[in-house]
Amino acid sequence: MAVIEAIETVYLEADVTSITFSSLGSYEHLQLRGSVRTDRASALEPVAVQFNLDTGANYQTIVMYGNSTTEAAGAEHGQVRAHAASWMPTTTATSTAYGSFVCDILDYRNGSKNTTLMHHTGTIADYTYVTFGTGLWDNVAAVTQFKIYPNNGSDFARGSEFTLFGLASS
Amino acid sequence: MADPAYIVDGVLTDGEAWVGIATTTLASDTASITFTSTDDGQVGDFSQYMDLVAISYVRSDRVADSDWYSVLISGDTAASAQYVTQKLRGNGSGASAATYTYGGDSNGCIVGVISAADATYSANIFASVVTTFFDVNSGKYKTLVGQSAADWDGGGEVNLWAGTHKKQTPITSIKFYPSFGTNLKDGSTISLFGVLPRMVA
Repeated sequence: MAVIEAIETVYLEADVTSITFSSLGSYEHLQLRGSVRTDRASALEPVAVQFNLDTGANYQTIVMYGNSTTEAAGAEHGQVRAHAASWMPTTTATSTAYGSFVCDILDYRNGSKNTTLMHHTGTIADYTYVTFGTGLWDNVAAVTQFKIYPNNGSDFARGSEFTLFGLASS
Repeated sequence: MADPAYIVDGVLTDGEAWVGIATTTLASDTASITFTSTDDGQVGDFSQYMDLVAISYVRSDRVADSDWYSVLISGDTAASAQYVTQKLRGNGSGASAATYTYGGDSNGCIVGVISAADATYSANIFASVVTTFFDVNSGKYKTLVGQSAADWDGGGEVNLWAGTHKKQTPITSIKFYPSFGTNLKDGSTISLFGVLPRMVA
């Protein structure tokens, strides 16, 4: 088995509401990489994630960020989703601007640990953000699938791209 | 001409998603290191990759405690403000953020703060920079995120970076260089990796 294997690539040819990765293989860790834009009518939108399609208020997100000359941090607890990536460009940004992110989901097959993730996001559009964050799913079940979607209910825009990688140790 | 490793007996496969393209280690002080797509269907051809990842361990000859570390994408030195970078910085006593906008070859797209050559500090200290370039063959503006870490034994800082090159053409080359110094010091090393997408349904 390859050490780092591409499990699935989704390159959107039309706007979509969500994407579900349901064949996660047998790796040690997962890494989701993306180039994203949404069709939200107002500025900026995170990428939300739900594990095993759990829609309960079982998720948390913590993030620190730089935006222009402002450095700050924030958190959300008891939410129905975590963030797999922070602020992505929307329809208020120039049409060729997409945000980019790398999100690591560690030890996802373990059935006795809560699932956490770590992400690094960049957006240079009508707003400039660099962020570093973490998310928690307050559930110890092994992750068998996960869904990503625009946090505020819009669509991922055409041209958005996501690739899921599996990291194997042997 | 040999096939890429993901073509086995003429059949497309999904093997290692990360492909080592090239490593350059300087034997003497050198102004810059440039990686250029070979455009030949082989390992060095950028057109087959989704993303590119550069791992740099570098030092500048600037006579100061540190230097900025920049990239020039596809040789674009136009004077318009086509490179924009956002950083988030910590230096051991505080945090800060800033946005930089540049055109031309002077600063390019800033992707790191690296150690330099002030005689006060050790000559053997190099800085770490990891930079990912996304969707490098798309018609989008080209984006990057990265981290840099530099401790020059008496000071230092860590930074998160996000950047863009406001051009829609595919990335054909990436040049790495110190923003204010004349050269990257000997011993500086940069490795470039290509990240393949899933190719087989």
